[in-house]
Amino acid sequence: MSIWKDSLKNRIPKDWAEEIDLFEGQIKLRKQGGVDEKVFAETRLRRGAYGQRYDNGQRYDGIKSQKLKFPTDLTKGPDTKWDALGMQRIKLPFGSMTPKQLEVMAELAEEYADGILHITTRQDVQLHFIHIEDTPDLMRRLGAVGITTREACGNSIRNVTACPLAGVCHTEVFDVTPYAHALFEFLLGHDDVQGFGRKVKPAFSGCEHEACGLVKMHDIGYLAQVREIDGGLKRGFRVYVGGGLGTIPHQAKVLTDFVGEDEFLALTQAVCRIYARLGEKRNRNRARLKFLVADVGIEEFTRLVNEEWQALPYDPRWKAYLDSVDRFDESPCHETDTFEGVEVEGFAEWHESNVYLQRQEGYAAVTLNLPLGDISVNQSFTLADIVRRFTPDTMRTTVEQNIVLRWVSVGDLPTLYQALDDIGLATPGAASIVDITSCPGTDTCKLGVSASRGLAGELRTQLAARNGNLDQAIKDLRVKVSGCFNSCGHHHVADIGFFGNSRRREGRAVPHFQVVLGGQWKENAGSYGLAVGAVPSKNAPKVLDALTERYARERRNDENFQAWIARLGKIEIKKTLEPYTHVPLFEQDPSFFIDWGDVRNFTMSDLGIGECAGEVVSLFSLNISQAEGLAFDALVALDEGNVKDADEKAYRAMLQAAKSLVLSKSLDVGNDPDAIVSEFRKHFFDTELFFDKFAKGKFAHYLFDRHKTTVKPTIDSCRHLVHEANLFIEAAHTCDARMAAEEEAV
Amino acid sequence: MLKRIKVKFPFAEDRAAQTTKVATTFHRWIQNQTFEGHLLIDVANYMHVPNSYNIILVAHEADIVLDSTDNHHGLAYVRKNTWTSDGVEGQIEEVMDYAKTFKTAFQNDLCMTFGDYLELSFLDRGLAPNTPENQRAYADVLRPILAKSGTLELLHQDPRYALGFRATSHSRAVDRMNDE
Repeated sequence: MSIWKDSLKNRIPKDWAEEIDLFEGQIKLRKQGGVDEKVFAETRLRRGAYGQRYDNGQRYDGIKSQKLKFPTDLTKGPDTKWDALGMQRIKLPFGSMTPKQLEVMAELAEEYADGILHITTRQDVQLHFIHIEDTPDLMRRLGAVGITTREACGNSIRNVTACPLAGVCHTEVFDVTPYAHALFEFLLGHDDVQGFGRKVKPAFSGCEHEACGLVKMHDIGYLAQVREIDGGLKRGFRVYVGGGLGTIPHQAKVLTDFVGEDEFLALTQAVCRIYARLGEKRNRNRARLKFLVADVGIEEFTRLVNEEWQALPYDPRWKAYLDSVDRFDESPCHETDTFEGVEVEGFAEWHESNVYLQRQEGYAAVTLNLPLGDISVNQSFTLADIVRRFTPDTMRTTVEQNIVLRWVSVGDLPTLYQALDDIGLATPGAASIVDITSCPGTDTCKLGVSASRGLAGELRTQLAARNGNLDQAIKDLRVKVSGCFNSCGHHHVADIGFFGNSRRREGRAVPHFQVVLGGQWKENAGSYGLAVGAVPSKNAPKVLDALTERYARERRNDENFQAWIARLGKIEIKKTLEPYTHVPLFEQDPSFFIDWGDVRNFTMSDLGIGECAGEVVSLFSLNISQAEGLAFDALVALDEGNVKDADEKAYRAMLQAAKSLVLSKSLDVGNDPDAIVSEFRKHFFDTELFFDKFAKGKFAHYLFDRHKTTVKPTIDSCRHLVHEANLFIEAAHTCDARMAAEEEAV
Repeated sequence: MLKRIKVKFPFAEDRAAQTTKVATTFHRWIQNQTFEGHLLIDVANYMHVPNSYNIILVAHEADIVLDSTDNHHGLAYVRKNTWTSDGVEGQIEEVMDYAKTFKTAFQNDLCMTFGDYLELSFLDRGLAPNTPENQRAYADVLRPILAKSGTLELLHQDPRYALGFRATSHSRAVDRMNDE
């Protein structure tokens, strides 16, 4: 028996302990071949045990693709080696953790992972390089301090996120913390969240106009409201549904303008039931709630939910939590004091950017600006001591991958600063341009195309060096980086976002980043940015400089970045990016062919597929550039509000990209859309040549769907189509690279 | 069987090795796969985190780490699994042997010199919690192996930190290490 199973048996909630024992049993059974690999994969995902890059047993080492010879051929999922190291996601509802919980996670990082705790963009903690057989003990140790990893991944309800300032913020309607916790508790393991086709991400906001909980980009979002009912004030929420980033971002729609605090759990249960019943199951790429809401329309979705709600059997838990709402009230660990005339070096700059004065006079919330969301074991132990000393034993992670300490007496700020500085956690620039968000990207993610962490780290280093000299308008910008189009780094809601992709030059793969401009962080992720063009990864820092310097120079009065981008227009933006799009020959500057933070030559494929140049590639490049031109024109038309034109151009961009591929097969296809689509389908879709390794035929359907549609475009549908056209073109590039590699192999 | 054991060889001068060179070297080691008994997999870079593992060569059996934990720099070898020895003494001997191999390769490829002491930690709070009893018991086990003629110091009294010791100069292990 595991020493932890024995020693912690009375400290883990009984049902949690049983679940972990069951999971351990399934691990043993899988080792004996008693559980199907697909079933086991979903089982471990629902326990938060996720795959990691190279877990298919192959890795490109800079020269060739190496087969990783693990001790066994057993798998823990399709194409996923048993002994390959994976990631463990740890769910922290609304990012809340105690010093004790932080200490335990640090111990786990040291004993089972690589010594680093990584804060994610959904307030979780992730540990990397973990062996699947270590996970049951890891879960027991977490369970003993009140943390579960259940449903941290998989097709279920994911972590419930909320604003880290909830309860101390000046502008909130009320503290959403007890409600976020109630939802977490109510839905954890609930029967009605087990049958989803994909994940559902919930979020809570206390304020409408701040970024707060970013409810508009979530599957289900709850915005705090107070209504006067029967002469009294009643708490409740405006509920949003169907938001989400991912490849095609959707703004959430309002399901109801107000649902009372005593009813919101029931309403949510009804939403879950409708999604489980009507949501797509077979095609994962259209299975998120946002597609269901878009497909049936918000009015019909609302009707279905209300009908379901009326039919739900009563559950006393809908209201029971209301009796203990005040248990989440916080108070300081000691009386406040004031400070004057502090002369500590660096304190003023840190105070300006990292300290938020709470609405409770004399207290502050302090943000620890973690580089790339990472914190070490030793830093964690000391931080736990600091939290105990200066706060009422709580802290919260943030979706910008930081940690917030609350209820710090303002009189303690200089001492706290010194204590944090001693362990490297007093870096200024929180929530500024220096504080760059990034998903794991190619460091550990199986889907990563480019090195998002590498780029984010480089941008952070370059910006931090001149932070003091930056214009205030620039300092306030948000920069976010994703390693691929899936937007885990939230690039859609940044002022300046980047997402990883790839191009080829003379047969070699070149890491690139697509530039996404004009997203809105505030207003709960009020609007999404649009892709304006791809630049070589190596030039991304120069692009950031060019854009920010021009913004500082040309902005009018208090014109914000979104307004400036809108005024500038896509053509001018394109001109600004143009000098940075060129890739030199490998012989002239090989650094363009290596991604940030890596020393290996870049490759799109860890399967070690080589790259080559040839006549066919040149023909493709020529044709695809026309598609890119059309996609850009579509963006411009969209910008000008010309929906019909934008829709037509985005469609033609996809047709041209499809034609580029068809022509590369030496097939004379002409310009008839039916013929192009038919030939594309026959040679690239039916053969699965166009299929993305993970998204499968998703991108091809963008073309097929638009080709057959007869519905008049709306601004929303057109915006989606423009996104889709860009993704279709990216997929065409990838397909071309794959064909070239296969030809070389032959 | 203890879960993980870490051996750290601090550098002679307490400065970080040139990180790009270290990363390049680790990648080359992966390309060549020359270390017997080790499947070298990937390189993780955490140079942006102070007081931490900074660059990690991740292998199936162990992590080889450019390490600035406790704010001094060195090369660490963390054995994770695939133990062939039984008992604490056997595990220590085993981890020391493997660690030496990587230390020598590091020394040769990166021209780094090491100090005259080493640190050994038991990363297993289940079987080897950092309690006063274990501090005494494990010191008794380690002394004949690591510090016959030298001294053995506890790394951390704080029970949150893994149980670990520093073996100073004139110890058998350090002498053996320098004989390489």
